[in-house]
Amino acid sequence: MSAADTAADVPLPARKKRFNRNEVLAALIFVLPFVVVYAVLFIYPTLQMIWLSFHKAPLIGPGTFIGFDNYLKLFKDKLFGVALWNTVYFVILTVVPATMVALAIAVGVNRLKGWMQSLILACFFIPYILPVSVVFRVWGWMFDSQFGILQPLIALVAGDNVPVFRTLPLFMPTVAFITVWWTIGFNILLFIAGLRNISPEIYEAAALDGTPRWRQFTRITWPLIWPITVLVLTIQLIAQFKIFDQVYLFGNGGRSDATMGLVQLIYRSAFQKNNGGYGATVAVVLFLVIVVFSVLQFQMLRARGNK
Amino acid sequence: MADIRLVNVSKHFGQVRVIENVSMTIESGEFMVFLGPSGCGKSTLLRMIAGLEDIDGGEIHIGDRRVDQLPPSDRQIAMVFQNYALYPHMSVRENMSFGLQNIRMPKDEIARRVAAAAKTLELEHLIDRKPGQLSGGQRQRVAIGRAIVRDPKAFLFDEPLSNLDAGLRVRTRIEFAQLHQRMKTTMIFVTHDQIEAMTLADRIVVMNNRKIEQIGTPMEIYNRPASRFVAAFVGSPSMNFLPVQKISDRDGKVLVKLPDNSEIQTGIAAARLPGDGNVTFGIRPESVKVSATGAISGKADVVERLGERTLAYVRLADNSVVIAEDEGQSRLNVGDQVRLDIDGAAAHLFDAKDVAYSAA
Amino acid sequence: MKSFLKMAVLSAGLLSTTGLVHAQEVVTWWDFLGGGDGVRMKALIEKFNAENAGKIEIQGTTLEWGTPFYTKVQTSAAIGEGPDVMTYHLSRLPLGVSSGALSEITADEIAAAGLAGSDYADSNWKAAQVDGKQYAIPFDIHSIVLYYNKDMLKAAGLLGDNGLPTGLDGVDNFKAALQKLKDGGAEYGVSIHSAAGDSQWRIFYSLLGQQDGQFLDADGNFLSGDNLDKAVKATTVVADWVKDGLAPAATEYPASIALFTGGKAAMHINGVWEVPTMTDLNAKGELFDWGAIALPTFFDHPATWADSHAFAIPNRVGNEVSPEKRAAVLQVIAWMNKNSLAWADAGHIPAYSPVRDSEEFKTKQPNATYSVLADTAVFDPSSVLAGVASPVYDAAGNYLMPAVNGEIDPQSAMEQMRDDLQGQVE
Repeated sequence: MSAADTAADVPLPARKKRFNRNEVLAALIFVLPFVVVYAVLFIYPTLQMIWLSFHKAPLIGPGTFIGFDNYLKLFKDKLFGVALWNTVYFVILTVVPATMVALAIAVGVNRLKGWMQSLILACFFIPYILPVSVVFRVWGWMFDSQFGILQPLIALVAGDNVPVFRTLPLFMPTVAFITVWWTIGFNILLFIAGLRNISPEIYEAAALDGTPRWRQFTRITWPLIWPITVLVLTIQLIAQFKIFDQVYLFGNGGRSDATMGLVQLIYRSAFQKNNGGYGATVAVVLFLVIVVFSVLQFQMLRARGNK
Repeated sequence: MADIRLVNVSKHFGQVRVIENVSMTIESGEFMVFLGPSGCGKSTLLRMIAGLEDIDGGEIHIGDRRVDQLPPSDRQIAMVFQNYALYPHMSVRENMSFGLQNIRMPKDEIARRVAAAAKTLELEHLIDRKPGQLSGGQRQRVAIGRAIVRDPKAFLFDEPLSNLDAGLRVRTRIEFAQLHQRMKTTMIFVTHDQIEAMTLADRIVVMNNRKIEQIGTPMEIYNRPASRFVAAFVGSPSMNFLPVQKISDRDGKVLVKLPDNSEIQTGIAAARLPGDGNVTFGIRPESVKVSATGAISGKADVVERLGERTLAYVRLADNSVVIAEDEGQSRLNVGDQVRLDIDGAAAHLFDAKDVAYSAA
Repeated sequence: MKSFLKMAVLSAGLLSTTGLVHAQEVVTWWDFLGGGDGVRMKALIEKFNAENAGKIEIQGTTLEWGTPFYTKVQTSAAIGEGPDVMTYHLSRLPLGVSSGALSEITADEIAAAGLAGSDYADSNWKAAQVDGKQYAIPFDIHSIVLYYNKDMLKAAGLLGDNGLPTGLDGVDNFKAALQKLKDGGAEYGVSIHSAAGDSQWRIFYSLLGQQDGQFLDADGNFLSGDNLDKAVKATTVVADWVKDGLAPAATEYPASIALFTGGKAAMHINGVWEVPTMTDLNAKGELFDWGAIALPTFFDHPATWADSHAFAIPNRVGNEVSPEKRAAVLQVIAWMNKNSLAWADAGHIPAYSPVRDSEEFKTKQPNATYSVLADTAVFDPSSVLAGVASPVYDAAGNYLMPAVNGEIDPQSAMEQMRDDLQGQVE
């Protein structure tokens, strides 16, 4: 073989950029609806929220400007520290496990064929379509300290029934486990979509190359769906930082100060105690935390993928 | 280097039979081409040899080993896929070394082999690029390099040229021929393109409808097709077929009567095709000349000027169309009445079962 | 421009009083009453609409109980899109008023509707006021009661000849009774939802009231002086039941009911709103012979936590209603009060004294047995920090609930609770 083909075979030169008035106008018309909706429903409320965080104000209605007082109060608020830690703890408990378990299940499901695959996939996906209230009821009863069907099992290990949602060290891990169970279907779906995108020829080439199964996963499958993994991790990270429903429902009536996350603190400040300014302050901090974490994570993971 | 023997190999997907009772031997060092239309089973047959498909019956031997129950990696073959199947996240170097690492080959040996292959294939300057940064032709060379470094007993190519544009395809074809001459390894090459088959093959296996139609050297296939299918599939433009009546023999050769009642003497021994009746007469366009003294007349429907020759699609009195050749500078025009001179010695006859008979 | 608008509004108002004098007033109604309560309230609304056809029509909507309801009320009041009338917990009134969600109801309006403060128990009527102004009209009093399994109590010798329990008054007597019941084969003497802060709050506040303890004193201090000791005592009573296995630990609301109805617990402390549950189960033959009485007197005198469902009128900023509409709303409220006997089926005690004193109510069981509650009720402290789904309820979950379950020592729990709530006073 020779390099005779190179002349005819070089990639096309990058197309010359061209802008003309009509195209710009058309582009504007097409993006305008989105820009308007985005501005009205996201940019404006966000700016309002930031503005509100500098005020002592009720949830609705005018307040008085107090500069950074809310932020100073935040750093002295023991509850904020607890809520921040709980949120981070929950993120740690859910994000990586939900991604890894989803990947493992997706790889397994992907090896099935035909209706078996659809059936098993449906089994894993169905919890995802349940509303949180149903998830709460189902698991609430399964773990119920008096009648829960899981209690005989728990009693085997712990010696007696354990009210898991009223036992502080068990609360977050249990809610995290339930959350993973509940939301994993979507991650599995994303991974399966990624796995199906890998050409079967690649695996045939790997078979001819005599690749052992584990090495095939670590050196071929895993790197090829790395972008999906980054996506899933990032979606998970953002979603779990916003944890509210499950913790609120399972913790309701219990030691909510010890189990609350940041969104719950926002809710309690703004809606329950009518302190809109302070609620906005917590919200701004959460917003920044999520932005920083997700951008950092996304960049780091992408860089690793490129290596 | 090793020969490859297939004995009564069969394969079915559920109720659908895709390969029926195929037997053949590919000699050591031979360049064998599997030729046939899509769906004929040629790729399946190749994948069965590679071990990517199980066989449901028969045996496959490579060299002195029976391999049909062995995993692909133990068959000591290498395969180049139609879409190359390079690992997109690995560099050219990693693509070529990956299989060698799998068998725990020493690092310096891997490096030596990869360097040698890269040199042969002129990939040295691309060695750290990823497939996405390569052109189609470059990717194909990487795929070949990945095969070469394994030092296999046989190379299997699954339509490796079909994703290249026309000009590149012709050049790469020549490079394949050179590669084979240099390596002298057994090669099996699957294609649906008869020109690739004719130009590359030591021998061609023509397949149709899950079965082997004919195995032979390119010129055997061309000159003495075993069936009407092979006659029609090989050669461009395709062979002319006319329904004729076998009337008698003359000098021991079959004499046929064309639809317009003109008679043509073929070169086929009458003894081989006894009896009277309807047969199909086959004649390649190069054996049908436009000539003022020709015995048959018709009207030119289409005239194709190819430069060094001219093809005329001539409609005969009975409405059948015959492709004839004229010289490159022909003055023939569409609608012209022409006379054709058929070289009966080059004719083929096909019986009711499409079995072909050619002049010895 | 403004005056022009005013004129337009005025003339429109005139039109509505003169030209459309026979038009039917449509009263938009929001409530948070689901389940058995909701069914009975819908029946009342239908009855009202039938009786007032052509004059007033109630268009009801039921929303999610608790914080979601109150959040929606508050936000809609701020933009004038709220209902014309709504149900409201009296315990939640101070926070509602402070957030500007509620419209004052004047004495004239009340009188015009044919109602008077003297028609209600004094503590109840006052609980509907903030700073001396009336913001709601009480509709019922609901409290917690002691449900009991007659068979089990009888077997333990705790049932008097009149079919009512005896010998339950006093901390030690009650505990001894629980022990007897347990010895008699019950898994628990009494089932309580020990995993729920709000439920524990109701018991705790009753026991505090029985000692004349003040959760929040007149100076705005939580558990000041010896109130803390009384709170510790109240907490200890329940914590002791749990500690000695007489009451279940960390048990959720539905499970605690199931313990009672399933015959595993001989008694059950829960709200009157579960009366329909028991009645229905019993009617279907799926429940033993049961009864309900007011909470026993553990300390100095009877007292039971109570709250009221009341009617309130939301502010409608920028979208004020006509005087005619307000008059119609007051008529709705008055009618509901006068017809509140039907509401007693839901276990509640009518707030309207003439109904409560009526012969029909006095024979209605088990309500009549515990109707004494109306006079011994202690309502939640009047504070923006108290009431349904308030910081006080959260604090109950954070400190009281773990103390009951033995996770925190009662003394320390009450101190922490006091400090936490005091810290939230603005």
